[in-house]
Amino acid sequence: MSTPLSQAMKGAISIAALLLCVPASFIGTARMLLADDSDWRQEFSELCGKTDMAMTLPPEALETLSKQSDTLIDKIRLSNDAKAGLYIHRLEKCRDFYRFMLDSIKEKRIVK
Amino acid sequence: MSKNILLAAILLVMSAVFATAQSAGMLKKKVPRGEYGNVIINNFSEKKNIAPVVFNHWLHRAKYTCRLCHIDIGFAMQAGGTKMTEADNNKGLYCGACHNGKEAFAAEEKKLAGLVVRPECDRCHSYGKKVDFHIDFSQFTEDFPKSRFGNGVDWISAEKQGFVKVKDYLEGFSIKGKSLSYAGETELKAQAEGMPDIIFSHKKHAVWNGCELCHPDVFGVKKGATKYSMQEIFEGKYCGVCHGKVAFPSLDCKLCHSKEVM
Repeated sequence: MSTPLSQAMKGAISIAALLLCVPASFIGTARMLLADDSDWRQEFSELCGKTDMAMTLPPEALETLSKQSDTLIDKIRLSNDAKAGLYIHRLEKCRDFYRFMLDSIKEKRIVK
Repeated sequence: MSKNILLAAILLVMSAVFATAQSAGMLKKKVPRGEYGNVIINNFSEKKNIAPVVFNHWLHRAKYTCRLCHIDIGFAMQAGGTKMTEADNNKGLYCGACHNGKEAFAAEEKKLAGLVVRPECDRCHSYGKKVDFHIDFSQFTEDFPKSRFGNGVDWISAEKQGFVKVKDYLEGFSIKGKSLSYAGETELKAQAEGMPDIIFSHKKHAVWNGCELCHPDVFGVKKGATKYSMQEIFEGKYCGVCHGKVAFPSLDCKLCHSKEVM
């Protein structure tokens, strides 16, 4: 048998728990989103930052960069970042450049 | 000697072809030097009863590389191709990437005689208006090395001699530590017999444009695999994407067809 006082206590504890949990979950989600965004920005910089050295890269590396760009494009599409569209556009340009370089190397090999 | 006569004859014929092409409307009408490279942006302006934007390439190219705007900020290479809105700019995209009151002036509201005005709007939305611009083309470029065509400035020399210092990095947009290592020059065979071959400097182009601005969108061709003609360049393809619109026009034959004729 529970007394009205203990019931009131339980109710108060439940409300307090709710009040603590809801903001915590918001903070958690926000942190996750921020972490995701900085993740793809970092990845973006690493991928697109290699265009200037693409001429010196072997075909395998160019192939990998091109595939990684495709994967990251899909990841950025899920982002709510206001600049997401711009980064997708830039990454597509980098990917296309790596493919272009790859095709050039393949073509040179055929000619030789 | 006879080769020189042949070269002179070819240049004469080419000039006649250019003149005919111009009269047939294939080449753009000559514009005042200060207006060369200007782009009228009117995707949404007039629909909102605002004067279209007159974008002056000369001032922007004196301060930033082509790559910074056309790659990092994402401006299309075709006039009017970006379709940016005021909301985009307010979010810090496109023009708003720089015109934010920090990097460059912003369209801030000010109180003037009790009225709320945005006096800076006219500096961009200036089409058909008499606007007192803060920087004048003739004064700005007065001491710059000269070129015969386009806006009359030899921009490569202007940069080399320190008249302009172009920025290639914008916080929040550019990638840190990118540096172009490719400094090669490519020789391209001229199609017209007797015409000097082209010495194409990848270095000069890469410093301003990076790699992915041109490849593969503008030049999807593999080295030597596809031949393109002057006609196509005049129509705005290949080199004509920039040369004839913003960079020096293709009328200045000797700047590209520069290989010494032996």
